[in-house]
Amino acid sequence: MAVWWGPALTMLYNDACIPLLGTTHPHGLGRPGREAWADLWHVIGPMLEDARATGRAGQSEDVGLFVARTLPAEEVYVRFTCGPILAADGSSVDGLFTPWTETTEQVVAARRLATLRRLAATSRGSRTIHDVCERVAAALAADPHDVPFAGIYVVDDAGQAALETVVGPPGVAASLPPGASAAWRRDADSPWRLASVLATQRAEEIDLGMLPRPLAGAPWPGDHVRTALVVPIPAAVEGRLGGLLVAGVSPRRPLDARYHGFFELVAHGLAASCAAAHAQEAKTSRAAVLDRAKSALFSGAGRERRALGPALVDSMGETFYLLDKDWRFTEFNAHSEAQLRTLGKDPATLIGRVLWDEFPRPPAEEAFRRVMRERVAVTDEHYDARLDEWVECRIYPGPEGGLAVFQRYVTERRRADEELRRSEAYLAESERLSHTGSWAWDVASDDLFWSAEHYRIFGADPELVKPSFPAALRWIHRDDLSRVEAAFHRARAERCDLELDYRIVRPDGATRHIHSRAHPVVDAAGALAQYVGTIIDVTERKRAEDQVKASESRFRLLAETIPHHVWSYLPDGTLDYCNQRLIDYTGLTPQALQQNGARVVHPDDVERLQAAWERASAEGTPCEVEQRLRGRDGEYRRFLCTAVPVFGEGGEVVQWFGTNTDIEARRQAEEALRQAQAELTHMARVTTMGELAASLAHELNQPLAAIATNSGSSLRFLGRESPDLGKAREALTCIRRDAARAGEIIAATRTFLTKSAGERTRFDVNLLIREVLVVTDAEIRRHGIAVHEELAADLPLITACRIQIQQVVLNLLMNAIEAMAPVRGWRQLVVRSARDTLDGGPAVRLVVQDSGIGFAGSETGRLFDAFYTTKHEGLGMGLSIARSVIEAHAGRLWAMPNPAGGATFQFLVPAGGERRP
Amino acid sequence: MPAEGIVYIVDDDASVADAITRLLESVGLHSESFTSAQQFLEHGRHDRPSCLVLDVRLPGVSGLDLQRELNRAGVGIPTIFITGHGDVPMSVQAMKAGALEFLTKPFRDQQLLDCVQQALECDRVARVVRAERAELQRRVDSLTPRERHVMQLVLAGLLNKQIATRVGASEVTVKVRRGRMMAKMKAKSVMDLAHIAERLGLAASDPAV
Repeated sequence: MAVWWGPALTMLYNDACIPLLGTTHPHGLGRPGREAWADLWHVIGPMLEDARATGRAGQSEDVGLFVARTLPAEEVYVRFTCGPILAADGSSVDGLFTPWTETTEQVVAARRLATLRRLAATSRGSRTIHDVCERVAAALAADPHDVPFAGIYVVDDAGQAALETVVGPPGVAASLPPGASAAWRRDADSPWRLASVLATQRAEEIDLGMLPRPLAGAPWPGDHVRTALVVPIPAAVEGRLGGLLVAGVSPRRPLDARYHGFFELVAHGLAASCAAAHAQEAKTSRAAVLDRAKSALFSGAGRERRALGPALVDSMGETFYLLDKDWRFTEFNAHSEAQLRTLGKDPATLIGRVLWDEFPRPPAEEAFRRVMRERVAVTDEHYDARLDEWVECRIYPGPEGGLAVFQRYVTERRRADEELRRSEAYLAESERLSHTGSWAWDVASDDLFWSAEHYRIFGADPELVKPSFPAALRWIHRDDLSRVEAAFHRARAERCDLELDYRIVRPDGATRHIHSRAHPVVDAAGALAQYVGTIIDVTERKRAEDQVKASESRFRLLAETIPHHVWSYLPDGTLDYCNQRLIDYTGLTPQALQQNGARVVHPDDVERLQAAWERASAEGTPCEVEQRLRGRDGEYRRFLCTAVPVFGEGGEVVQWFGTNTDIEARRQAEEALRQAQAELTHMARVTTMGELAASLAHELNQPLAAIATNSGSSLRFLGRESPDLGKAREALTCIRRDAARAGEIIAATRTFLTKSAGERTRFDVNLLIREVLVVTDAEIRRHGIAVHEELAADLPLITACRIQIQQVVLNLLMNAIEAMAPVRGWRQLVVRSARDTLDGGPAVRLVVQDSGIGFAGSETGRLFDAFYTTKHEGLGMGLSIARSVIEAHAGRLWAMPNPAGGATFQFLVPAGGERRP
Repeated sequence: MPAEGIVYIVDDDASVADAITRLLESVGLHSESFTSAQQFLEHGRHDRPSCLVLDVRLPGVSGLDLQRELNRAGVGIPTIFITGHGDVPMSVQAMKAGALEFLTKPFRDQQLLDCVQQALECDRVARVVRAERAELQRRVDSLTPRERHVMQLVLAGLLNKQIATRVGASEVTVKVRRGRMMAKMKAKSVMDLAHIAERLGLAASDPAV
C-alpha cells in the first residue's frame, strides 16, 4: 500500500509496493508523487487528485502501467482503492491511502486465453491449410501485446518449410526467411534457426539483436522486439512437423514459463486447425470418388459393371472387395491385392475361398454377419494389429445376396481427432488454471453453452444440467438478479460489451463472487448472432480486497493518531521527508528544517547527537538517542529519536528512516520519582541521625559531666582555708580538655544533620500506606509479588512526623520485598492496618507480612540492632531506624517469624501520637 | 569518728571517673575507680563504709546487670547511678532494684556529693545493723541443739514444767539448760530474749518442733 501525503501528494509506501515500483524505489520515497512517478502520473494522478479534492474514496479497475523493473518498461497491471486520510478538522484531506493489488497475471492470462479461444474457433469451417493460416493470423493479430509479430510456415511432405502467413507491422515479412529445410546447414538461415528447429523439433529462443535491422513490434512502434520463439507445429502424422510458428516476444513482458506455454498452446491450436482442414480436404475428395464408385456398382447392370468396375474400383484410393452369399471372395481391387500381399496372402488363389477360412475371427466379424443377415449398410472402425492401422470398414449388401466391402486406413484422421481433443484439453486446462469459465449464448435459439470450467464454477453437474438462459438465472443471488437481468437485456438491445459483477449461489449453498465479461457476435448480415463471454470466480480476490479495506480503515486511524514525528534523511544529510506532526511541533517548514535542523536540537545535546549519528552512519546500524528539541513555543521537550538505515541492492545505505517519540512527560515523571526517592533517602539519613542522637547525647554528656564535676572540684580546692592551687589547676586542665572534646563531637554531628526531622501532623495511615505502595509498585511487580491489602476503614488518625512514619513503612515494605527475592514460587505480601490499643489508649497497628526467607526465632532480639543484618547488602540500619522512629512516637515495633515461613513485622503507634514525657 | 568511708566509681569514661575522684577528694573522701564492672567485681571491697557510683552504660556487663548481680550475691552496697541518656523506664528499673539515686549527666557536683554522703551514711548504719545482727547470730550459733530447742519453747511462752513434759526431761534439767541458754544469749529476761529473736527474724515456732 502507499500513502500520498500533503498537498504535493508525497509518496510513502511499504515493502509490498517495492516490486511494483521498479526503479522508482527507493528514490521515490518521500518525494512528491508527480516527480516520483512522472511518467505514470497521467495514469494515477487524476484519480488521486480527484480523491484529494472531493474527499471521496475511489476504486480503480485494472490500471496498466509500464514499470522499469525486470524490463525497462514492463507491462504491469494494478488495481487500487484510494481512501482520503482526513485531517483533524474532519473535512480537509491530509493525504490519501491507496492499497494496491497487482493484477498483472490475471489480466495477461485473460488476454492470452481470449486469443487461444479465437484460435480454437478457427478450426471450425476451415477447409484448407491456407484458409486456416489466414484465420489464425487474424486471431493472433488481435493480440499484439502478446504476439508483436508472427510468421507461420507450412512444412510439405519433403520436409521443406515455406512461409505461409505473416502477422505484424509491415517490414516483418521482409525480415523473415522465406523458407527452410531440415536438410540445410543448421545456421544457414541464421539467426532464425528454422533449420535447427525442423531437425530437432524443439522450440528455440532467438536473439534478434543480430538482425541487420531491428524489428519493430506492435503495439509499441518505438520498442524493438529483441526475442522471438520458433515453435514446431506438430503434424497429424507422428514424428513429422506440420509447420513452424515464429513468434515475436513482447519487449514489455518477461518471457517466463507461462509465456512459453502460451506459444506452445498457439502451436497446438494451429496443429489442430490444420489437422481438421486436412481431414476436411481428404474427406471432400474421397466422398466424390466413392459416390461415383457406388453409383457405378449398384445402379448399373452386371455386365456394364464388369466393364466399368475394375477401372473404377482400381482408381479408388481404398481397398475394395466382394463376397458372395456364402462368404466366398469374388473380386478384389488393386489396393486390396496389395493389402492381401502385406498380410501374406496370394490374391490370385483367394478368389472362391471362404472369408472365415482365410481370416478366422476378423475384427469386424460381427458387422459382416449383421449386413449379411439384415441387408443394411454398416460402417465399422477398428484397429488392425496386423496392419498396425486403424481401419474404417464400410460394408454394403452386395449383388446376389453377397457383400461389398470398402476399407480404408483412418489412422491419420484419428490422430488429427486426437490432436484436436488434446488441444481442447489444453484449453480446458488453461481455463481451469485461470478459474475462467466460458459460455456462448445463441440469441436467436436461446441455446446456452457452458464450458467445463463454467460448470465447475457454478458447481453444476454437466450430466444433469442443461444450460439455458432462464436456468442460468436460477444461480444468480436473489439480491443481484434484477441487476443481472437488466444488464443482459440492455446489452442485447444495444449490442454492446457486457461486464458486471454478481454473486451466485451454488447448489451446495456456497456463495461465490463472479466477474463476467461478454462480447456480442454479429453475423454477416449485421444481426446479433450470439454473445460469447467468460466468467471468473473472484471470490478469493474479493475477500482479499475486503481485508485490504479493513486494514485501510485501521491504518487511517493509526495515521491520524500516531504520536510520533516521522522523518527520513538521505545519507548526504538531505531531509527528504518529515510528517506534519514534526512540522507542527517545530513550527518550521521542511525547507527550514533542512537548513536549520540542528538549531532545533538543544545546544547541550548537539555533541552527543553528532557522535551517535557519526557512529551509526559509519557502521550502518540503527541508532537511538535521547535529545531535547525546541518546539515552536521555544520550550524544549525531550524526545527519544531512533533512526534505521534502509539498504539498497548493493548493501549500501540509501536512506535513514526515523521517528521522534516525545518522552518529556515520562522523563518528568521519572524526575519527580527520583526527587521523591532522594527526599526519602535524605529522610532516612535524618532519621538515622535521630536514632544516633541518643548515643550522641551520651557522647556529649560525658565531657559535660566531667566538666561540671571538675569545675565543682576546683571551686572547692580554691575555697579551702588554704587553697590547694595544684589540685585546682589540675581540675581546670581537665575542664579545658573535656570542653575541647565536647566541641569536637558537636562539630561532627553538625555535618550529619542538615535538615530538621519535620513537623508532626495529623494524618491517615491508610493513605500513607497507599502512597508507599505506589512508590514501591514497580519493585513489587518486578519481583512478581502479589499484594494483599487489608486496610481497616475505621482507622483513627495519628499525630506524628509523617515523613518518618512513611520511611518506616517504606523500610518494612522494602525489607519484605528483599526477603522474598531469593524465594522461588508464591510470593505474597500482606499489608494490614487495624485499630488497636496501646497503654490503654487508642492506637493504630500496621502489619507487614511476607513469604520471604524469614529469620530464626533466636535472631528476633538482634534484628533491630544498628548494623545487624542478615542481608549481604545494606548496613542494617533500616530496622534499627524504623524502631527508633516508632519508639520516638511512643510506639512499639517488633518482628516474628511466620510458622509457614517468612516474617511478620508490625508496629503500634498511639492514635494520639504524643511522645511520652 | 567512725571508720572512714570509701567510694567505688565504675565508669568506662576515664575523664568522668577522674573528675569524680577529684571532686570526692576535694571534700576529703577516698575513692577507687574502675573502668568496667568486671574489674570492680574482681577487686573486692574494703571492710569500710562504702558506696558505688555506677555508670548505666558499660562495655560488657552493664550497670543495671552489675546491680542485679550484687543483689543476687547479697552484697548490699548503696548505689548511685549516673547516666548519659537515662530515661524513665531505666531509672524505674534501677530504683526498684535498690538504687539510691539516679543522676543524669551532666549532674551538679553538690548533688553527687550529697548522694555520696547519704550513701556512705546509709552504709555506715547498715554496717552497724549488720554487725549487731552478726553478734546476736553468733550467740544463737553457740547454743547446743537442746538449748536451742528450749529457747524456742521459752519464746513460745511455755513454763518450765510444760517444757520438761515436752522434751521428756526433768524440770531441774530444763532449768539448767534454760539458765545456760539465757547466759549464752546474754538475755536478762524472756522479754529481752524475745527482742533478740525478733531482730534475728526467728519467729516463735510451733512448740511441737
